[in-house]
Amino acid sequence: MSLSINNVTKRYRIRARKSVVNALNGITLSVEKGRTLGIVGESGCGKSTLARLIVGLEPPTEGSLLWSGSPLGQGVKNTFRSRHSKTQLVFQDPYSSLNPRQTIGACIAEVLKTHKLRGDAEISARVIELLAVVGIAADMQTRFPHQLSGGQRQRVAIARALAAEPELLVLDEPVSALDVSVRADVMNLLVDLKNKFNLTYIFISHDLSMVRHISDEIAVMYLGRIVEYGTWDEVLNNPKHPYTKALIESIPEHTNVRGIDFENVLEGEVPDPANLPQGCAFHQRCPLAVESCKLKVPELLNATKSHLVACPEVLK
Amino acid sequence: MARKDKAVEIVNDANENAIANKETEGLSQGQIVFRRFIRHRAAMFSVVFLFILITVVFTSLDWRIGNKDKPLFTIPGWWKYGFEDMPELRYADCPGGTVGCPTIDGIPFLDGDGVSLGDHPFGQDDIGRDYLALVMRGAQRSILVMFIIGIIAATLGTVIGAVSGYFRGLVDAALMRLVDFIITVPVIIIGSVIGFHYGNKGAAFLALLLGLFSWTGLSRLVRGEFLTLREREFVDAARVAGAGNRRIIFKHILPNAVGVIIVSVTLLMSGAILTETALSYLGFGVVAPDVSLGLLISTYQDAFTTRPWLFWYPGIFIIAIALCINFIGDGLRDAFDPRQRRRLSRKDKANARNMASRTEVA
Repeated sequence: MSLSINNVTKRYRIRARKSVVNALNGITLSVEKGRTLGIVGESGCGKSTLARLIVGLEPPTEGSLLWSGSPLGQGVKNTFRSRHSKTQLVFQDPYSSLNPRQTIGACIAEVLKTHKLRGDAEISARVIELLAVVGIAADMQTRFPHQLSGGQRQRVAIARALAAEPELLVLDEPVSALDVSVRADVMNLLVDLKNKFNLTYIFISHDLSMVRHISDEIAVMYLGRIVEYGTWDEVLNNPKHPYTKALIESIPEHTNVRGIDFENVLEGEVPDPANLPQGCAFHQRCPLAVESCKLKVPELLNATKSHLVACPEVLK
Repeated sequence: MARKDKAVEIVNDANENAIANKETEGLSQGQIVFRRFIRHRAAMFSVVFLFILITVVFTSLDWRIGNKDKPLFTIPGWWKYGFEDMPELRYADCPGGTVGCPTIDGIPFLDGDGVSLGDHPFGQDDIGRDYLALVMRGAQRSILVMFIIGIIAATLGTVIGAVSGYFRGLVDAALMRLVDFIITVPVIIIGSVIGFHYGNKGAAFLALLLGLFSWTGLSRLVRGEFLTLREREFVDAARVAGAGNRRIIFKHILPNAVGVIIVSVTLLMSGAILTETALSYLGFGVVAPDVSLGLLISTYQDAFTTRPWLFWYPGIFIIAIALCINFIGDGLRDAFDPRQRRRLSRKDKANARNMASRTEVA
């Protein structure tokens, strides 16, 4: 029982500009059941695209996604519903991911109906049960999303995902739209749920402190590729790739003295994914770049047994 | 002090929210919409008024079932004349030497004989036909035309707009070119051609054909609405939740587009009455001996200065019906919008203040 993503690419054709956006460029990953994989990276590096591919909202251009050996995605239409009950997605913004015209009870009941998980008579009891699991009182089920706070909405979104009885839950920046004060609550809830239902998580975020809190393994993405992968301890405490180092150094620590500039801040912009640079996608911003970086896309190589880095320079 | 006021205000706001929440507790969406609609004064007044108006209009004249001349049986109306009857033209006591003036007496006690309808409350036309009966018959035709056009255009416009907005691509391109094609020809010209050829087939048939040409504006609006809504995250969320195309269209996108649809359908319906009026005015709508409100107005436009009642009564009916429909649409749109919070009454505000002061003490 594991998720394996094999050499997945995703390209979007933009007709107006007659160009192709390379959102994902050969992602290979695997997640064991019961583990949490954290995926970090800047905006636009393909994190959310990967999430959409995993839950089957879009098919990959190339490559395959397998959950315990059977394919996800690739437009397998007849297994659409059974597939979704195994992988569910919690969206980033609970303000836009809940239908404003649907009460939250109806929203959760819908999942039970479409997947035929409960008979009509048992649906309302199950809805109350699911709301209780995420810590929302039963009498809230007749409320509309606009009558709830951000934290409550995200709890509802989590309850909706759980309603399908998934094995793998993809969390696409589940707390970044929330107030700082309720983030910790929701994070704790997520950890509790994982243990309670024996879930596998893919936790996507640009916030390293949140990823550190929950992940077993961490993958760092840059422009649709994985540049570093390993256990959370190795990636965060002993980062190899220059991009990972820069990401970690850009976390504002509360011990930092005010007024001091961050060191080693990345310069320049992320290159246009419609016009990828030759060779290593990071070489234009990389402090370690040499001539050979412009020629060949670096492969993920073992630094230690459980730590992979896509940078030949740091492995020398 | 200022700070305390602010605090009280915040608590007040929270309590107002609590009141709004309490109101929607334990109700289905339909019930909530219904409650909100009932609370909309202008809309409720219009519903009642339109209901009374329709009842009065449709029960006024005899209904002959079967052959027109030898009916199987007749449902009698409350008014003594039919629209084809020709009672004697009244010459007496009309102002300025005109004939067939209204006998309705709406000024009680002034001339000593109180409120009375008289023999011909709305007057008579040139050949003595009772004008009340004519206006009633005209209003029947106009309301019929309005509803037929409204229903056909609403159905076609919504379905075609939804399909092209949701599926996009080739389907969208094909349907929208059809819309462009129909939209370039003015409705009044299409109506004239239809009226010229099929006017003698009756008002219902005319309305049916007009309905087939008046859905285009609505379908463009609905398409636009669907194009925006389908990109919203809750649609993706529904798809992940296992919803199919049909469920997404009807349960997720359509309820969010309903405000736009209702408003433009009501505008379309009041527009339909005016289209029918215009066509009849031009002589391409309902043809004599049948009457419609537009036909009455056009027939007697010359009489406006000398016998204005021939103009006023059908005019008032047109305005009344069109206004009612617009108000109802307004109320429905507000009712369907869950974010629309009603203005709290003074009583509710007092309640909120009480709750606030209690929390403060606590």
